[in-house]
Amino acid sequence: MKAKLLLIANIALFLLATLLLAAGQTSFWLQIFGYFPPPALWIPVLVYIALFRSTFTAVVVSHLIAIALATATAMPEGLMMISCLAVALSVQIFKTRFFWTASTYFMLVCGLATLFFNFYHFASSWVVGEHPLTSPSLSSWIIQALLTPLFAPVLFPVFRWFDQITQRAEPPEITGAFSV
Amino acid sequence: MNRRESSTLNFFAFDIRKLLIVIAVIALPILSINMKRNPGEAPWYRQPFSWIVAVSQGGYSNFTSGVRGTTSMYLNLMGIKKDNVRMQRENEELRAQLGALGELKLENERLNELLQFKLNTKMRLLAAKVIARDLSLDHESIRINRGYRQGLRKQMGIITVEGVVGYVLSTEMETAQILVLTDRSAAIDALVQRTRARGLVSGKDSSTIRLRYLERADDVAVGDAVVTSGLKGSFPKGFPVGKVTSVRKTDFGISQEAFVEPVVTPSNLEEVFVVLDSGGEDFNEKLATGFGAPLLSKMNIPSAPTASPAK
Repeated sequence: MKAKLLLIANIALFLLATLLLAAGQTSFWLQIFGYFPPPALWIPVLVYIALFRSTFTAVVVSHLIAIALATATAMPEGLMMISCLAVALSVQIFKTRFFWTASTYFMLVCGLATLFFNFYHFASSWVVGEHPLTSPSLSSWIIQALLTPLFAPVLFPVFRWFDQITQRAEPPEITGAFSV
Repeated sequence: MNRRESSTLNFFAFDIRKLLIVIAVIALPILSINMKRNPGEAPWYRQPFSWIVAVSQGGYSNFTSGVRGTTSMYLNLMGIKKDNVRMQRENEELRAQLGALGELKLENERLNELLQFKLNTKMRLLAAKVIARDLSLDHESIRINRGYRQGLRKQMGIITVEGVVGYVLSTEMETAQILVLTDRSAAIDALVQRTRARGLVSGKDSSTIRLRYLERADDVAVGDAVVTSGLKGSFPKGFPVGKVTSVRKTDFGISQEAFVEPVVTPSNLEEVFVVLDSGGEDFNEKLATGFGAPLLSKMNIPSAPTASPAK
């Protein structure tokens, strides 16, 4: 029973972090930098879950993240869920091919995931969307993919702290190996 | 000559040596005083002393003035440094105040413009502030600081003094999400002002919108103003949407579409109006009376519309 509660608390913490980071991305960044493309601050949450959780958990949490974030965008919820799921699965596949235990890996995957997310949104808008994306803002995609990894090293310890306070065992991949 | 004989010659029995000494003691000051009366060079015997005194005095003087100068310079520098720090701080404060005043001035002008607009219209408007943008880079929506508690409902129109912004997509208690006209899923009923050709405006990218479903026979030309039709009541009638930049007519099909440059730039939005009730406002009439001239001036469109329907 306690284990389940801790698991729910863990997921709730990550969802809360997702919402706070998304709010920072859409509002705080706007107040400071105007309409300059912001980093996808919430992507590191999805990447962390995809990297250090089972596929089942990653799928469930990716859907929860999509539902939570759909309130902050005009993107249809379905497209958001497809894009998040595709990112989570892509990260898991990527991890089976390439993995090294360093902060640069987390940064790299965050950057790639940001790019993947925008690409999957573009693709899914053509496949299942009502209004296909005809003019993707590629330059903004690239800027966002470059900015997002800069925040990854700051967020990673926070996510590990979430795991610690909810008594979640550290992933064997990162034990004592994550260094700047 | 013995002693006796010499004392006979010196009948006053003076000691000559003593006498000479006395004369010298008395005469020298007198001589000196007398010589002092003559301007000119110092006497020869004083020159070495004068030189030594002058040199030593000069040395002392230079030394003390040097010390005094250095000390005063140091003290001055200390003072200057303090003054400098104080003045820099004051300067920074003044600059900050100036920047804030400049920002306030601009805000005041914007708000004054909004107020004037609100006072001169029959519409029931609610001013709102843009607080967030869309999470996705490829969607154009904004969030404003007004929600259903302030009376906002879905589909209500959002405008600025310049023209149409979009409409309410969803509402929360204190905020609302606005779908901006440039989003590809936005749709607003609109007219070509000159010919009254009717179509549906939707977004293409962040700086272009499309006027779709125009009839193939409709007269649409580059430079035409596109305005709201006012059909659903979300927007006033004849309110500026944009200006036609190109027209595309395919070889087949029953419709044509025009690409339109929106009059409102979504990336510049700070304050907007929610149209709570359009009040049957018709901007075609206002434009005819000159009220709406500033609205279209940014589009380089003449403010005398042809109100005669083409169809």
